[in-house]
Amino acid sequence: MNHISTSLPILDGYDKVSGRLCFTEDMKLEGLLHAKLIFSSVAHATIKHIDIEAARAVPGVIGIFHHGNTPGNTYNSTIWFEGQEAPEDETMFPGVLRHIGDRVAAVIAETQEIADKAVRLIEVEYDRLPAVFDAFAARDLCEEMASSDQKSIFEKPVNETTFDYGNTRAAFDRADLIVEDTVTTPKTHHCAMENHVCVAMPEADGRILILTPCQSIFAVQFVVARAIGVPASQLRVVKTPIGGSFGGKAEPVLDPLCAWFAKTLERPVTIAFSRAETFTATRTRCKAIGYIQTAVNRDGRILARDTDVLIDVGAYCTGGIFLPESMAQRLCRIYNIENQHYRGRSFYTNTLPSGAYRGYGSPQIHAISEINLDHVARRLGMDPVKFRLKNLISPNDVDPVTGLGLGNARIRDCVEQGSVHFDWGNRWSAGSTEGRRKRGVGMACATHINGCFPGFHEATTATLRVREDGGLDLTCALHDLGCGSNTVLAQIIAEVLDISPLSIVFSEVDTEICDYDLGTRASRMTYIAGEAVRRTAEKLKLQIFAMASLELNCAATDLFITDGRVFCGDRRDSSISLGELAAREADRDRSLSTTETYRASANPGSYAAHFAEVEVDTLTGAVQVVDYLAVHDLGRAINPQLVEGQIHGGVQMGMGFALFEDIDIDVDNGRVKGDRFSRYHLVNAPEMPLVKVLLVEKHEPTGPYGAKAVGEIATIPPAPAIVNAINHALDTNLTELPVTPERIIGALSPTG
Amino acid sequence: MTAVRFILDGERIEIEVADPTRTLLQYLREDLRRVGSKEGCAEGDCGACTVVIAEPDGDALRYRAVNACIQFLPTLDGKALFTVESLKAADGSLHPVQQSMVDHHGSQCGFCTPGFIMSMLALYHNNPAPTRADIDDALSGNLCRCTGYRSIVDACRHMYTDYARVELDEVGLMAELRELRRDRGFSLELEAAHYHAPVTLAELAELYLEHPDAQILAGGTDVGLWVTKQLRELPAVIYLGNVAELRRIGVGAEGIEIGAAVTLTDAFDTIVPHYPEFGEMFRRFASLPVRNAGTLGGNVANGSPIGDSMPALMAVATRVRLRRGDQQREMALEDLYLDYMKNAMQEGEFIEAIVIPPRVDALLLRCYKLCKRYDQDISAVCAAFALRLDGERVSEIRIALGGMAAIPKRAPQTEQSLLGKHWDESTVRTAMDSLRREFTPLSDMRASAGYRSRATANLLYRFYLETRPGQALDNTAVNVFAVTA
Repeated sequence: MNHISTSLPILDGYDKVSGRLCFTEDMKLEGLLHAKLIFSSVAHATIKHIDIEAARAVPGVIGIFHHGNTPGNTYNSTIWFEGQEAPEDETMFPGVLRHIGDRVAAVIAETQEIADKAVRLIEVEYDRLPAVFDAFAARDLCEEMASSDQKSIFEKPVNETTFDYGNTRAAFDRADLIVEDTVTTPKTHHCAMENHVCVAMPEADGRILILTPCQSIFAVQFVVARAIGVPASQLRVVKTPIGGSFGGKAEPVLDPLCAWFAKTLERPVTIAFSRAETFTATRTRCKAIGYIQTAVNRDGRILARDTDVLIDVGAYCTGGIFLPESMAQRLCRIYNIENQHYRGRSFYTNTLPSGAYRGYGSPQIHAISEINLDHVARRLGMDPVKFRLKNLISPNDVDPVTGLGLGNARIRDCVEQGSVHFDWGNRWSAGSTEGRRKRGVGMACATHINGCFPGFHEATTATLRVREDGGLDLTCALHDLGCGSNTVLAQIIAEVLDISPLSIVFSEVDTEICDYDLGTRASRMTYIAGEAVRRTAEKLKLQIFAMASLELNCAATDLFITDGRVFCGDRRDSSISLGELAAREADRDRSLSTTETYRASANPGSYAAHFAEVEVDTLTGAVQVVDYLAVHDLGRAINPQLVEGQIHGGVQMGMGFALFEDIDIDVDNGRVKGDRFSRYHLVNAPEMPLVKVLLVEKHEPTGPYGAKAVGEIATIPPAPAIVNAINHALDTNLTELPVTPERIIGALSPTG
Repeated sequence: MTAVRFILDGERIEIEVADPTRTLLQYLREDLRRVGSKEGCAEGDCGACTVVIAEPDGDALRYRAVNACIQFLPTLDGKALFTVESLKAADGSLHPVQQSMVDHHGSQCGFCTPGFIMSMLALYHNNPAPTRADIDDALSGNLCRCTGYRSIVDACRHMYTDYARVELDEVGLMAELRELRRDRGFSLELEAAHYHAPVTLAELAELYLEHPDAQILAGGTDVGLWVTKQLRELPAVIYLGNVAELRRIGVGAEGIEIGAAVTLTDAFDTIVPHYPEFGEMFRRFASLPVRNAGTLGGNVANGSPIGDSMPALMAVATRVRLRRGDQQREMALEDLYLDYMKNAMQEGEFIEAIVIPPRVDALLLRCYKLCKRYDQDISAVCAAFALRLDGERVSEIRIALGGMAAIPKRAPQTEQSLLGKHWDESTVRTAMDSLRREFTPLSDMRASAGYRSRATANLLYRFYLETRPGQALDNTAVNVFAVTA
């Protein structure tokens, strides 16, 4: 059996390179209506008057929806199942508009062109309300309002989490050195190449079918049911191929509207956002401002740390309630610090809402802590690698927040192997060169979770059935977001049953046929779903052996499977194919199939250390990342090339976070300035350094074939590693991301 | 009604076009249901819609990757079109470009993939042995959010070596294209809009006099956006791309003459041997698909205050030749621009050619582009400086700036103040102050006004450091810590 640690190309590669894969916008549907939304042009207002008459008169316009004629049910788009709690402050068309880009109305027409034209005829008059655009202002407002009677939801923190262990104050008092920093991270956008899109249509029995590129069909079903006020059973949700998500399509933004339009108009309806709409009216990574103080001994031992994070969640809560805690969790799973105090507060602002985004708070909190740690090392005059090695956790240490073990945590191996591979010691001590272009090296460590345990009911149910042609049907709500997770899962099943991974057919991801699943989020695909399908395959194998032992008259313990056939010991002449077994079961009106539910009972850490070398043009402030090494503790790489692809993509995103990406809210009016690719800069091919990848494969006992997650963590350490390298090159302490040429020049010539 | 004629997958297509500003991408996706080409931004920034267009270039076929989202359908007339659906063999087997992408994991979510495939196809046919820099340039117009590009670059390398080469029937295609060639221009006079594609300069001049309210269309990299993004309606369009005289490049004793329909790619290739100092800026100017479609004439005529070619061209005393009917006139490029998006052209007048004088002796020239991302980003500031010294005194200086005013602009006061002065530290310090006084830039998302002012003054200082008599610094040795202003 040799399907693990092989780089099988993604299963749907042919469809993707031939242009045959049918994305949501590519579907041809009879009688499809097209929607065009109108968005608030002011940051905070009530609608005084809306005039839709001219738009309604346009031939081909079928319906116009707005606050006055749609359900005002409140919901929270980040909720995944009944019983999960978070403030419900979203409505399809709110009466109070909370940010530029908030939804005012929608025109539904026979064609997109008609809808686009009609929507421009709608006139909206606003009654403006005061607005806040940054977390500091929001905090001050909340403090002001604390003593007032007025307590609208908008005027108090979304959430506040603190935790404390040890005695931070006392440790600060006896420290040799305390280094403090304020690190700011920007609001950034997912920039999946496919814009947000959704289709909904009435089915013959009156239910609504929603076709949507999403991360969880059940979350879509739940949120839409809530928003439009129908039982979930009235909604059927099917995931379509997804052109990238990165968390951006984790929350149903368009689905409630689309479903309501289809239900009301009794026609199929699509909403397809433009790039500018995707930028300004979906979700972002939240902005974080971290004030962090680290207390150390002269010998580099961290005694205590105090971290205070202000989180700007934007105009709606969505997952903002979870962010302070998830940042805390990420902060405390990587260094042994006996005394820690943390406070995280999230605030509303009149800016577009934040939501899930690859790493969920982790890139921000790691930027805060890892940039500060380099500053500490600099102040101590200590090699930042040696400083970190004095403080990093070891395998099987315990997460102080949850009290759970961290598993086979191999961050030390990452740092040690990486620093050798990168020749860190020499390159770091060489320092920066004289002249216009200065070089520097930087590194950063990171950790991330594996699934949702113990937070939510972390489980996956899979059904495997042997077909009469010997292949397998897998029924499970597996949302492959394009990262190749289905390919990895096929390899795991193939390894157990020794069949070709290409013979496995994945079911539609459809609420009608799949058991409940949290979907693709929280780095749970390989670790949770992988273990679930492995166990299902193992159980199926027992069933196959039980049957085959009767058919072949052979003890089950002597049976083995090779290449889709069951053999009895060394009797090569006595065998039966899986397909024949399935056929014989079918003759008995039974199927050769099994269903298994896997419930997680651990949440080990994935770890990474990234090393970067930059060259900074001190004349222009331009930064080039000239060398890069990513070292990852992922237990085992089921598909090494897919793993590398995840890491390269993560570095691309993290590098953008460090250097370019910022949706850039206009502080005067709350407008999103970075609303297109010519103003919101992604790292492109020429900018991308040659990223080297080193994998630490030390086997995580709770993961399938020892595997842990890699997808999210890959995007966490690049930003602090690159910023640290810039600070090393220039002997600066830049802490505001993105580190743009203007900020670099500002730091180099403070005289202004 | 005249049909638009082109070759698709080796077959001649003749279509009646109802709206001449319908984009090629709309036609492909909606009319032909060839939905492999994707819309990711509809403004030529992401490359998900990239297709390949082939046309004769002398005796050879030239392949150009372009953004279908901003190409108007009728501009396809007389050309051959390839989309991602064109590649697969009849038996379903993949083209080497596609197979290499599968084998090297170059596709993850797959949404950007067809666009990448087409950029790679143009590279495959145009360049049999690309360097890494060539590959980067070929991929520069395609964004991917999944792969970090590495696997795609690997796929580019291996598409030549690991698979049997697939050639097109170029001879046959050339013959087909010759049959489509038009001796006279064609017009589509439709309810939605009028579209004219003259083939001679005389035809064009006459047409534009008749229809002075028509929109002149060259590469469409700006005009396309007016339609797709601003939903502007263009009642009449005159397309320059087929006018033979405007596609010419002349290089002679009089300098370089670049016809108004010459693409940026070809214009830059012509200019750089004479003015190598522009090489770096030109390489960073837009993506390959945009340079392949956009024209130098269009860039100049549009006159965006943040366009990069104007400062460079102004610094070397470029002139524009305008034409109205059978009247020609020439003016200095800087005189073309009056105010934000306003120029000196009269009704019915258009740019015929851009005339770059021959390089003068002892010219000290630099062009600096400052932006957030190094490659293909719109400039915060673009500055070009051209200097001649008489001994150590300034005998001639031209300073031209982008991003500093409502138009691309020379700095006459500062230039005047420098004439005859000794080219030394104190002169330049004074000139830096003068530059800061002479311009009042805006703050926007690309840069603050303060940064623009300071950076521009510092660029003058940098120019000085790189040109000071006797001790000019190599450009890699210029040190910001020496700049204290």
